Parts: sequence; structure tokens; C-alpha cells
Amino acid sequence: MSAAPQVTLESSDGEKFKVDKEVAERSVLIKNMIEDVGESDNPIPLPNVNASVLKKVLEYCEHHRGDPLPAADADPSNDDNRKRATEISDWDQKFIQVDQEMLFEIILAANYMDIKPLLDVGCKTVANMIKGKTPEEIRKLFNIVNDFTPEEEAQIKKENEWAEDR
Amino acid sequence: MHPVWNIPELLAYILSFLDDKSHLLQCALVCRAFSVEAARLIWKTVEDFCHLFGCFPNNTISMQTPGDGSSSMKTSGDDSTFPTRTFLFLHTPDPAEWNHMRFRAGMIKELTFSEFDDYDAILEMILRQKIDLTFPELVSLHFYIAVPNRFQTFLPLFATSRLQELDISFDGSNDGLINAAMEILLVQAHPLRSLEIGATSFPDLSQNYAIRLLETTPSINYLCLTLPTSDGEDMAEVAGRLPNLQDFHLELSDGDGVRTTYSPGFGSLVSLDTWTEWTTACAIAQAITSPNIASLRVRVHDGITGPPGSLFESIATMANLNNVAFGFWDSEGLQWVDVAPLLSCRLISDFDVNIAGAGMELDDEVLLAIS
Repeated sequence: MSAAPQVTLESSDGEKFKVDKEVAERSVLIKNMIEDVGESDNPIPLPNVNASVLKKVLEYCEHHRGDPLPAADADPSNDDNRKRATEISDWDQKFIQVDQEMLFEIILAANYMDIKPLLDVGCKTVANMIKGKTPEEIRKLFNIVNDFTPEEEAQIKKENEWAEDR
Repeated sequence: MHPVWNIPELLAYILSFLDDKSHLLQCALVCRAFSVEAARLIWKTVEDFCHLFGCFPNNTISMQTPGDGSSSMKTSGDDSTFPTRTFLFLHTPDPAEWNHMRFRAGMIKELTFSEFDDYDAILEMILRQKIDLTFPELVSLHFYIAVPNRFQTFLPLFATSRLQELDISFDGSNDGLINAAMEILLVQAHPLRSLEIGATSFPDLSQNYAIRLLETTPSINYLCLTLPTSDGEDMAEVAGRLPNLQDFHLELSDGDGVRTTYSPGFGSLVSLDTWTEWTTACAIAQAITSPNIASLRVRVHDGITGPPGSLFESIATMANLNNVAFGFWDSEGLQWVDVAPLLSCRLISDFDVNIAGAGMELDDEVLLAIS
């Protein structure tokens, strides 16, 4: 039995990862690169993802290697089903239990490598962290500076107050 | 602050998982970047047109209710008073304020006009000031306005929209206004997928416009008609020719039904829900040619006026049916033996009969055998 075809990925800090092509192709970016360039022994460079994040991303891809791929033409802004499905599977929940820095780096990597299911897991996790918090609590949680003037803040409150009870 | 928050697309995507608008409101108050994306999501669905008035400074618009001395009128036939709220400008907004309202209107994808509100004075001001208020992103419009309001003046506001869902209810009997509204809808040629029309009175000209609307909008896959019987019967005939119609709701007023047959059609129908006379229910069931009909809900106004078995024989030919419900106000003359053809529908998993009148003894064995 012949071994599964493999590809080599190179992180921004020069570490190389040899993985099954099927696993790497969970990333639409990598899939397109392989299709465009053809199979080669040269490593595929990922200049926006460092080794620790890439290792984590590949762990996700390995676990989900057999999952059906999401439709390429799905419009996320109209995908109500996606929004309703805010639950995260047990494995994904454990996988995404990382510190905040790593969580955001995974989101950036998933966005760059175009791995929509991983992007969803990351973004849902952040959304769940936001739920039920006040603006001040959100700022504190994510180290965000309040850049509103008092007048701007009052105007936003007034304009959107109807959303309070929805 | 992590760089992820500086990428508007990612911020918007994260916030899109917050379905609850109260959570989005909290996000809108975090910082400017959050505010832009959260507001976009908050304003995507607006359940009441008057929320737009919050874009103006305080004391720009007044809201009057019948209790505080404003004029009001009684609807015929019930005790409800409308308009329940009348909106008035107390002074003319300046151009920047108008622009802000237009900016928010430009974000709305789904908009509802609540029942019986009176926006006539607001509209007059918008027209007089030549404010170019449009809803370019709007795809879903729910319009419940009493006829005495000049709702037809609203409709041109949606000329630039590409409505996919329209739900319009006319409450009252001002024929001229209903005709004007239906004509505008026809002319604007929206690519509708979902259409709901409700009226207590529907003039002939409006019916012609509505029929032409159906004939020229093959994209419709959901249709709900709540109309006087004679109007609804003719429109149901046209609905049968819609190539993509999957879900059809038909509610016709009591009496005056004349049609006993419909042309074979409804070729893509999956679900039918009727509230009609017995003859109409039978005729439509017999006209269905779709092999995919899976759900049937038949509610009958009054008595069973024809051979009871005919409806059930038609239904028995629907091979993929798995959900059936009947509602009868008066089931005199119907026996369980009439329902026997349904025993051949092997896929029926959910069978429900609701009988308001006497005359039909429930036979648990038959019920069990069907479901």
C-alpha cells in the first residue's frame, strides 16, 4: 500500500512541518497553492503563521481531516444557520482552551489560511466571552481603550437604545 | 489591544455570532471600531420604522397616542383605536441630521412597519424637504399599515431595494389606495422569493395587479394569501403555475366560493396549508401534481359539503406525504371510513385531526393505523 502523499509547510520562523496533503488541504489557501503550482518537494511558505500557531492549526486539521468541506460559495453574512449553531463540539472546545494571545493568533491564522470551520470555532469562542458583559468589562477583558467622546457615547446610546430589549 | 480588533472583517465576523441585540448594544459602546460593526448588525433588522427617529436629536419628533388628546379613529367592526401612535416633527432637522438617518436606513436589510402607526406627517416632511430616503440594502419588508394612512407614499421609498421577501397587509377598504400600492409593487419588479398578501377587501384592479405580479415573478417559492374568497380563488389558480412554489398558505374568507376545480399545477409544492371552504380544499388537493408534497394542513371553515372521501383519495396519491393535519368546524357527514384511503400513505408519521363540531366519533384504531 503506497503512503499518503505529503507536503511540507514552513512557518514564519523557519520550522518545517511534513503533513499529509489531505490534512494540509483543509486550508483553502494551501489547496489553491498546490493546484496552482503543482506538487513539488519545495516547502510551502506561510510567512504569517509562526511555528507554535501552525502546530496548533495542524492539530485541528488532523482531527477534522475527514470532515466535509464547507461550501465555497457560502455567504457568511447571510448564513443564518451558522449563527444559530453557536454550539462548539466537545473536542473543539478542549482544543480552543488556550490563552487569549493564542486564541487570537489561531483566528488570524485560520483567516489567512482560509480554514472556515476553525475560524468559526475561534470567533464563536470570542463571541461567547463577550456575551453578558458590559462595555467596561469587554474593554478590560481585551485591553481595549475607550476612544469615544462623552457626546459620541451618548449619541450611540440614544440611537441604539431600542436594541436593549431585543 | 490585539491586532485582530483592527481588522474590520474579523471584528464583524466575531460580532455576527452575537444574535442578541442587547449584547450588540454593549459592543457598540466599547470603542469606535466596535461601534461601527455592532451598529451595522443592530440595524440589519429593524422591527419598527420609528427606531430611525432616534437618529435625530431629542425634541425633534413627538409621538402622540390616543390617550393624550390626538385625533384617532375607530376601525369598523371592532373596538381597537388607531392610529395607536402618531409621529410629528416638532422642527425641521438640518441636513446633517437627515444624512445620518439616511446612513442608518442604508444598513437595513429587514424592516417592519408596525400596525396602525401614523407616519403621514413625517412622510410629508420627507417629501417636502426632498430627502432622498432609500433602503438600498433592504431585502425583506413587512408592511402592516391601516388603509387610512397614506402608505402608498411609502412604497416608492423601496424603489431601489431588491426585495426578496414582502409581507403586506391591507386593513381597511380604500380601494384607490390599495390599487396604487399594488401597482407600485408590480412596477418595481422585485426578485421576490417570499410573498405574503393579506386584505380584508381587495378591489378588482388590485387583484389584476397581484395576478400579474405572480405571473411575472417565477422566483416565488413561498406564497401566503389571506384574501376574500373570490379574489383568493383566482390567485390560487395562478399560484398553481408558479414553477418554484414550495410552500403555499391560502386563507380565504367565509362564503361565496364558486370554483370547484383548479388546473393541474403546483408542480414543486412541498407544503400546503389551507383555511377555506371544503370544496376549495378538495379542488386544490386534486390539482397538486408535485411528487414531493410532504406536508398538508387542511382547515375547513364549516361543514363538509361534498363527498368526504374525495379529499382523502387525492391525498392518498401523495406518495411522500409524512405530515397531515385536518381541522373541521363541523364534521357532520364525515365517517372514519372516509379517511380509510390514508391507510395507504405509508410515510405519514404525524397525523392530527381537530374537530370543533360534533358528528365524528374518534376511532383510535384507525388513527393509530394511519400514524
